Amino acid sequence: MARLDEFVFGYRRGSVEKKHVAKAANLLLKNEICSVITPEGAFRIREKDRKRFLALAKPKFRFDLGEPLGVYGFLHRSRRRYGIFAAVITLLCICLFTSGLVWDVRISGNERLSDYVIEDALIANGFEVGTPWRKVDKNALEAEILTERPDIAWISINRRGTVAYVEVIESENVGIIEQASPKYSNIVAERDGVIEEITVKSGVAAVKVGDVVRKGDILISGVVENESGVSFCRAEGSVRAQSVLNVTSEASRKVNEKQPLKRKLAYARVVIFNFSINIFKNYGNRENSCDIIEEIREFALFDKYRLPIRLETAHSIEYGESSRIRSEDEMILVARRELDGKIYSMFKDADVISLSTSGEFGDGIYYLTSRVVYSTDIGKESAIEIN
Amino acid sequence: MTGNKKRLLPSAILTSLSPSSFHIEIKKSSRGAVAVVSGVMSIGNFTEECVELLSHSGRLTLVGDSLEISVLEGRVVEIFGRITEVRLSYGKT
Repeated sequence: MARLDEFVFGYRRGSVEKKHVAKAANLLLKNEICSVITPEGAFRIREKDRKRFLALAKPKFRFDLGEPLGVYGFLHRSRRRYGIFAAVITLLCICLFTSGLVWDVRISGNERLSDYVIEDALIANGFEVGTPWRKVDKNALEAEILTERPDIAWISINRRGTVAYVEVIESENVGIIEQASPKYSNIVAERDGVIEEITVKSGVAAVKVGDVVRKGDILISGVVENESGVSFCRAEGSVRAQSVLNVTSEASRKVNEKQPLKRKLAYARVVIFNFSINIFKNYGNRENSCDIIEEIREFALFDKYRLPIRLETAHSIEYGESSRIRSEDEMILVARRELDGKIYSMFKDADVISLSTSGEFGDGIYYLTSRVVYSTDIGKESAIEIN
Repeated sequence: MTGNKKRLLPSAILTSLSPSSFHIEIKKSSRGAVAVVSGVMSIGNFTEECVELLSHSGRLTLVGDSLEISVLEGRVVEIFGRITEVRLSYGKT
C-alpha cells in the first residue's frame, strides 16, 4: 500500500529481474532513494525520485517503470481533460460562495414566543436564509431586536458553519406592571351581592352576613377608631357574597366559515438523539395567514423499544372564507356551546348555586341567556388617600 | 594520551556516534513484524525467506517468510514480514 506522501505527490510501480533485486536494492540504498521492493523484483518509487533513479539504474540493469499513480498520477493522466478541471474549479467556487450564506436558522430557548415570531423579527431586520454572512452585523442585529421587542430579554446569534443558531431568553411578566401595595386601604365590593361570609384579618368589618351591598361599598374598613381617635391600617380579609349575573350568547343564521384551501409541507426534519437534520423547510409560511400543524412521528422496534430517532413534520394549511346558512338546531347548538364556554371561563373560581337558561329567535339570530346565581369573593383592595 | 582516562559512554550514545555500528528495532505489525535497521551499508542477499544486511562492523541476517524491504533515507531499511530469526555476526565473514 502506498504511503500518504506517495499517494498525494505521486509514485510509480516498476519491476526488475529477480536476479537483479539485490543490486537494485543496494542502488536505492546507496543513493538514498526511498522505495519498497519485494524479492520478486516489484518495486515502488516516488515520482520525485524518478529522474534520479532512471539516470542511475539505466546503465546497470534492465527494469520496467509504469505510469504515475496516486493523486499526481490522476492529474497527470487527466491533464488534457479540461472539463474535469473546469468542474473542480466551478465546484470550488460554488462551495466558496454558498459557504458564505445562511443556510438554516435554528431557534432555541423560546417557550411563549413561537419560532415564527422570532423569525419574523429577524427577517424584519434583514436576516434570513440566503443572507450573506459578511453582511450580518450580529451585535447590531441583536441590539436592534432587543430594542424592538420587549418580550425578548436576550438574544444571541451564533454561527456554526452555515447554520445560524439563535438563542433566546424571553422577558418575564411582559405587560404586567406591578403596583406597589398601598399603605392604607379599604376592601370594597367589586360587584353587587348579598354577603354570605366575612373574615377580617386586619381592619374593621363594615358589613355583616345578609347585608345587600352595591358595587364600590366598603366591606372592610382600613380606618380604625380607638381611644386616641382614628388610626389607619391596610384592610385585609375575605368577603364572600352571592351574586346574580345574566350571561348571553348568540348564534346567527348566516355564518362565514373557514375552508381549508391548500396544505403545504412547512418543514420536515429527522432528529437522532438531540441532533436534528433538516430535510426540508419552507420559509414562506406565517402564522397569521395559515395554521401550522406539527406532527412528531416516533419509531419503535417490535412496538416495544423506542428508537432514538423521530421524524418531525409540519404542514401549513391556508384558509379561505365561505358563507352558509345554519339550521335552527345548529344555531341552538352553537349558542349553547358558546354559552357553556363563557360560563366555564367566567365562573371557574366561583361556586355556581343555580343556573336557568332561556332562548329565543330574533331577526336571523338566536339569543341564549343564562341567569347564574353564584357565590364568590367580592372584595377588592382600594387605597385610602390621606391629605 | 598521557594521563587521560578513557571515558565510558552509554551504548546508545555509542550507537549513534559510531559510524561502524547499527541500530535495530522490531515491532509487531499486521504483516507479522516490522524491523527497522539503521546504519546499513549494503544489502547482501535478498529473498522471500532471508534478508542479509551489511554494516561496517558486521552482518545482520533476518530469516522468516514473505519478507519485503523498504529503503528509506539515511541508510535505514525496513523489513516487513513474518520474521522468525535475527542473526548477528561480527566482522565480514
